[in-house]
Amino acid sequence: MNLYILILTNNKCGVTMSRQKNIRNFCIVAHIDHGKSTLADRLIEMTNTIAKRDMTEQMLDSMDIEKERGITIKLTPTTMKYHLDGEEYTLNLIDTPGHVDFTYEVSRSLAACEGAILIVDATQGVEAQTLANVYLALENDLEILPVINKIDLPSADIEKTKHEIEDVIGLPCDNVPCVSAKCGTNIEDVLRAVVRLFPSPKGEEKAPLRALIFDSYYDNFKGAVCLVRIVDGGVKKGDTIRFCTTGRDYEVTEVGIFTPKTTEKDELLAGDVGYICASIKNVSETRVGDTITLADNPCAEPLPGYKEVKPVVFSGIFCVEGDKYNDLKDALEKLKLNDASLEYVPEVSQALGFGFRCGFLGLLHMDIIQERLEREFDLDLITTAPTVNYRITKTNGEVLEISNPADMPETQSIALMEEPMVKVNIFTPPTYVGELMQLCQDRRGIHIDLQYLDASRCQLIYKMPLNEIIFDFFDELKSRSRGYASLDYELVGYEESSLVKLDILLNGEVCDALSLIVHKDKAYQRGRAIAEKLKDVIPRQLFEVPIQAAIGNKVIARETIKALRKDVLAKCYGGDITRKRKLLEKQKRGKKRMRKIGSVEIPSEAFISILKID
Amino acid sequence: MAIGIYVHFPFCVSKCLYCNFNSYAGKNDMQIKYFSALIKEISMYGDKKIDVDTIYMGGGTPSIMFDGCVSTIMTEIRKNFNVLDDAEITIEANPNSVTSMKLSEWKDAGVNRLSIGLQSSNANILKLIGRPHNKADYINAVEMAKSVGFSNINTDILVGLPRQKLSDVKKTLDLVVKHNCTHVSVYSLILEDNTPLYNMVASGELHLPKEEKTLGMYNYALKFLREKGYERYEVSNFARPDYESKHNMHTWQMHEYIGLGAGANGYMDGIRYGNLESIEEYVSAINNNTKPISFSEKINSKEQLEETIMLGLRTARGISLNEIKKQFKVDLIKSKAETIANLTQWGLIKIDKDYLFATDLGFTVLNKIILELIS
Repeated sequence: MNLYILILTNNKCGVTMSRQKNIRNFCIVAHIDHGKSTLADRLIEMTNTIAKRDMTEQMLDSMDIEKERGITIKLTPTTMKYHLDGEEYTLNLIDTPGHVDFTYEVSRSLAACEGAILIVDATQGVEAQTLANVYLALENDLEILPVINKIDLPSADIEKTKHEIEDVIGLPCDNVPCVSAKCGTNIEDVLRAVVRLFPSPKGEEKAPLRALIFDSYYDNFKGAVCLVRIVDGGVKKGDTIRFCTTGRDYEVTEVGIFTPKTTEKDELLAGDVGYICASIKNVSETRVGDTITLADNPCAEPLPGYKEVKPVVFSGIFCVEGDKYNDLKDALEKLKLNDASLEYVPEVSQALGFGFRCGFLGLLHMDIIQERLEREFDLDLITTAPTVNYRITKTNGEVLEISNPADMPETQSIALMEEPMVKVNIFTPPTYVGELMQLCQDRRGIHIDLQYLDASRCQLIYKMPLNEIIFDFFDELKSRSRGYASLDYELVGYEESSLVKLDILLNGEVCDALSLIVHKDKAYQRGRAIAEKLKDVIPRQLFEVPIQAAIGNKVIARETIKALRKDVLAKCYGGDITRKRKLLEKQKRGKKRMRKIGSVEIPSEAFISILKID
Repeated sequence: MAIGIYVHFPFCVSKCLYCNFNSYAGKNDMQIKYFSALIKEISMYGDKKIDVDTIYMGGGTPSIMFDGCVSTIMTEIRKNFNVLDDAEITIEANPNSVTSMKLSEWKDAGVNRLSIGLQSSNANILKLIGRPHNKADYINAVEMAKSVGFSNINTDILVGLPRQKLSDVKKTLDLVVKHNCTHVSVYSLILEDNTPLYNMVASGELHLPKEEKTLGMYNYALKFLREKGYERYEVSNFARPDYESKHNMHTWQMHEYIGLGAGANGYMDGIRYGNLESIEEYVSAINNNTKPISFSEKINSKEQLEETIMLGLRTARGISLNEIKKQFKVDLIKSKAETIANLTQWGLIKIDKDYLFATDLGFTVLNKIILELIS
């Protein structure tokens, strides 16, 4: 019996020596549409991780919205086995979300890796997102393997793409794999390069457990599931683990790896990527970036880099039908289970009734949440104009942070207002530089840099207020550059600003859901544009309705919706009362969907239409 | 209480471009079969205990019925129902399809009211909307009718027609008044889905007058006809004193009526029903001894109240608040206090003693007023 144990232990030591040597932890970073998910699929296919008959396109994108938009929001790692020169290697691929809203999540995913594959589309070259992600990877000391994709396309220019990678990013491109993920060309080159180029993990297996949470999700049966990279030590079922930031302890119910389905294992050891379940009630407990250790043998120091993610974009969400408030509440609760970064508090609007003030990591995050609410929970929503977090210092010295125009104090009591600023990085063909500079200037941008990268690409850097970006900036950028420009931004702190609250009055009454916080210099233009738009989208009423835009008591724009004067002088022929009543029933249902400010009826579309005005 | 009978005749020589009524051109070979079915349908409802005080033969184009049909229908109705002596009996006619022989036959059959579809006196406009007649046909028809002994004549006119100007409406109204019609219906054109006119307007081939122009035409008609001694007793209907159409009024006052013929609607015993629209299906149902009904719907108390408001407000007299209180246990003055106050303040309705009614301004937005009062 003793002998048996001894042999086992010995054997285990032997395995340990080569264990980490044959592990590669890596991720793929790329601009949207450059083929990240497709390449991941090919790698999985090539290593026979999933039988081909079970493959669906883009295996790792697990949400419908992700598949539709061709972007990855949620990370799904996968463990693959690969044989090279008689050795078996464990390749852990951690997919990363390709969007700026999730920069922090990306950075934690990168921190879980030793290497990053950088995909560049041979027809598009280096884009803003590419650069942003490369910088993130470099910050995390990752080895970077450029891979040139889409070489099957007629417009692919491999040599030019190589030059761009060398010039713009500064990575040598002598032996980079040139692949077509779609056709499966040269995928083996990528796998070989991963093994040869990326370093193996160098964790201390004997040290106390340190596991980095790079993502988590909620499972109805297992509770919150932590996706982890074991940096040091090991963890197994029955261990009591401790979360370093919260100090809470839980008993491990299951550990395992992703193939990419969850596959239970006896233990996870240093260098491994896998999951830990411990009957945790929600994902707010399992924060991305936190370190998991053992309660009875805690680590001396948690892993560096933990940061609490805070929402930066806010919007009110209401149901078109007022009696659906509880459905909305349930839906948000369900989404929150899986999305710790989603924040919401109840909000009551005079115009829109009961709803929620929600905070998001960025515009994409906001779009995704709204879309999921509408699609997965079948809700018709009205959302108010997105805002950011303003910092207000009152004359009495009190400092407030507000994101809801309704919370703005009286002008007289404000000593100082500050707004969040971002550094914006735009890549564009030179043809559109003039147009885009104009756009940035119109949006109160301060020019920082313009570089011509080569004959076909420029990099524009501006500093501008976040509140200018959240308002239709991305669509404008795309339309002014015919879709060619790409954008990336990062928060760079607060700056003093002259901001005012712009109210919209209908028939003399303020419609709270239409109020905005805008820069003083833009208030007139915005007020006029909104008043004009509302005149078009609010149907004529039985009386004349003045629309006013006002700052405090000062009216800065005015439009009038004339009274309805011709409705129907129609024939009710053949005594067809049924048809007439059906029509009336339909109109009655339409009326029920209207919002009321005083006696003015406003269709829900009106609230949505003003979100698209500059 | 006496009921009404509506008889539908779905045949036309040609289909007007704006028309979405249940009518068919080029199906004249079905007339005989249809007519036999219609006669049979009358007997399906027959009950001599039922008093009938209005009969209305509409279409389609009833004036293209073969000679002898109208008198046969009337005989059959009298055989099956108790038609009152002072019953109002109307037939619709196109100006170009009446002959003195037909008029005499109708007169002898007891028809005492003629409704002529003129729409406009402008030949170009008539052609544009696919009407197969002209101004001369109209004059001829009216004068013939008078000489045969018709004294109660209605003329239908339309405003808001393509290329129509206020001057056209003036000329049309002059013509109608000059020929001493006792009743004028002024309708505003509705652009109905799936009509040739709809497609022509949608494709930009034709333009309808702007809303304000059409409203101007309507208001002109209102003013002009009042000056000439016609009273607006319903949103679209004008009559010399004592010449209001009973049949119309009964519909707005929710009296019962039987609908006969393809696509006709009826309202009996609290049930609204509609007949099969297809001529073939209608004929075949009757030949199988079944009533040719395609839908029927019991109107519950809430719907009855809504209909009472919806239909009653079309009349100049309006709705009786007391009757509504008595019949539905609803006090509109209380339950709709805010709405009534607003509508009154905006000059759209008035209350005089027991009646709530739309003002001239209110009639222009009647649908909205109804919606406010029933929502």
